[in-house]
Amino acid sequence: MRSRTHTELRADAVLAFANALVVAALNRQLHERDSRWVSDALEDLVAALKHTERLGVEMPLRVQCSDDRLHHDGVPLDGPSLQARSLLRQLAERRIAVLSFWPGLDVAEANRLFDLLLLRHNIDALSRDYRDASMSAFGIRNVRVSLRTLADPGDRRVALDVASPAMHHYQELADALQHNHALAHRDLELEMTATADAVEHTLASMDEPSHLLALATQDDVDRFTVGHSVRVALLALQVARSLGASRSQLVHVGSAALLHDIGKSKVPQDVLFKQGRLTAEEWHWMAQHPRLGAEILLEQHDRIDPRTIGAAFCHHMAPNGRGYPQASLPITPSGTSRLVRVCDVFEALTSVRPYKRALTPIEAYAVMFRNEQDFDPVWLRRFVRTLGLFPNGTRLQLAGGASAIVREQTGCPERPVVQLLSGFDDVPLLPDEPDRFAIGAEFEGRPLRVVGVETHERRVEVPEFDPVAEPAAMQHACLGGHGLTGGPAAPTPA
Amino acid sequence: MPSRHPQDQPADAPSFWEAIAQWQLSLRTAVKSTSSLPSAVFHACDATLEAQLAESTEGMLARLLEPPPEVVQVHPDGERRIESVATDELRSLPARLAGADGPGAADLDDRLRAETLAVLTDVCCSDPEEAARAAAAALQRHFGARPDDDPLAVAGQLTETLREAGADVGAVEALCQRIAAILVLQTRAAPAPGGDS
Repeated sequence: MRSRTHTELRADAVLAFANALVVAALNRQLHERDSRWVSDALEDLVAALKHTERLGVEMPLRVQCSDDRLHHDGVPLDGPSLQARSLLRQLAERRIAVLSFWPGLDVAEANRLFDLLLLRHNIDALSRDYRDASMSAFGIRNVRVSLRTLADPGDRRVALDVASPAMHHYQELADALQHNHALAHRDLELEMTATADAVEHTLASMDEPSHLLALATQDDVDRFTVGHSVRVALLALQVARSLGASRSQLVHVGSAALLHDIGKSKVPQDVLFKQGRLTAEEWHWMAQHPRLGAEILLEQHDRIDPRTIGAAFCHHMAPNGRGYPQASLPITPSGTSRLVRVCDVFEALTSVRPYKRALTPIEAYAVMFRNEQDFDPVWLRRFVRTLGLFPNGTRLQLAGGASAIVREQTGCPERPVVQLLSGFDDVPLLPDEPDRFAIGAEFEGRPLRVVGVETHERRVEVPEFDPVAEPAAMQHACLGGHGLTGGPAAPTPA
Repeated sequence: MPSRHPQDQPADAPSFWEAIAQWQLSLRTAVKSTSSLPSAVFHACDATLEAQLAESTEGMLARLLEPPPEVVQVHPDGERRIESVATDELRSLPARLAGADGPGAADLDDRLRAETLAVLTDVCCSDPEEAARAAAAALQRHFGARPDDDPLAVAGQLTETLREAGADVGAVEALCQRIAAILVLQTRAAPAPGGDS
């Protein structure tokens, strides 16, 4: 593998610092300020800051804050921003444009900083009138706060932010879920209306849902399985929508998928985030999270939809009831639970974790089909057909040295519509040359065939597929659905 | 359960008003202890000036410092594992995808009542009393069962339904589920709370 350049290492270090900042803020919101979880997160934050300094990142490290994203040097830090909505809202309410960190920051000082950034009763502490006095009174010497005022140059350093709908929806769902995890952790009433609203808002403009898949490849910055649950919900919504589910069904499915891991809020965190093999006792705890989730949901004053309770309880069960938890009655999971299970496993396989790399979707499908008995075959196939073997946004290497990006799914999972990025032998396309074709269509007298999938960190070879004995209906879908196999695709809106 | 925002902090969470007051008091005390001048003389002084000067100096120094070579050394990024997938598995994917789906179509509500009954029964018989009570109430609500229902009477209805020609499978299933729910409720020692029917 190619060695990373110094510039890339510095960018990684800044990203890691922003991740640590978001995780520390989440921990401060979830736990008592002097808890071990908070101090661990703050230690990570301090260590990440020192690491950036050692790598030669300019100090102070300036994290710029717009309404939807964190930035450094005007570059959006998308990974951490996914989980940062709550922090960003606090910063926006305080009119903060830039947080500048000096490497002398220590854990206690960072904790005091969060007193000013997160506590409701300190919301005015950083206003122009009180900012300097507050910073001095809290002993904060290694962080500078720049406010969003015309008089403040920090304001103009923030890049103009045109937030993508995907990012916005992701953040809204993540925020609703983070909040509910915090409430469940403290035995407080969940906010189900906010959860349903977040799902509703996501549905309202989910026109390019596959863009959300790109978010799944971002580093997982959350410590509370929030990002995972949000992505599972988005995947489940896509599949349910492809079935023509009604709006209320979609809200039920989205809420069920979003809250399927709510029981993890009751699992001790040293078990939840342990990276090595679990002991028998630890495994016993972990295996209880589906039951704990169902119990949390049942204890709510508001009646929770049975699909949500069922998905929380059954998302680790195979269609025949095998898996965990061990129930007192044999269980056949409902359709919603079986769909959530497929989405849950797919998301886990395609996401980065500290201990593993992300599989590409096509590899994840192969792993799931290898263990096909663990999934409902109907839902597994429906899932793959909805997303396609090469989901929208996937970068492809084509035979003959061309490259392309997937733009649209057809009725044939292995033959999406692609936009050519370069022609054969990597020759650039002419400005007015058609660039949208279905895989299998001819371009310059040769059929377009996928030979590889590229991610930001590796390339996966894709072999020629075995011939498929297609039923008549499928042939129709492949060949006639878009009329693309014989020529360029009809232009589609970007 | 009480409803409380998680950001509401315990009473010992620091308030910036109190902190500023305490800080100003400390400053004045320090000034008083090191000078014979009245503290009012210093009130006009910007107490943050020293901190700002220190920050600026540190900032300039930081720019001058070069990172030691060992920390910018490139490390091979090969520590995280990845599941291996054989070429044959990828090759056969479309064929497997085109295979038979198995019985039934994709239905989100398929087996929902049966799943609900099983989950509620499990929680109803579990340890946490609050969750068990809630599950019992939900059993009553979902299946129309009450602890004082007679399961034999419902079983009689079931028999009658089965005797009818072309008995509705859904009706039979619902009656079976109701009987099961009654038995669960009767097995539970504690009665379910009222208010749910």
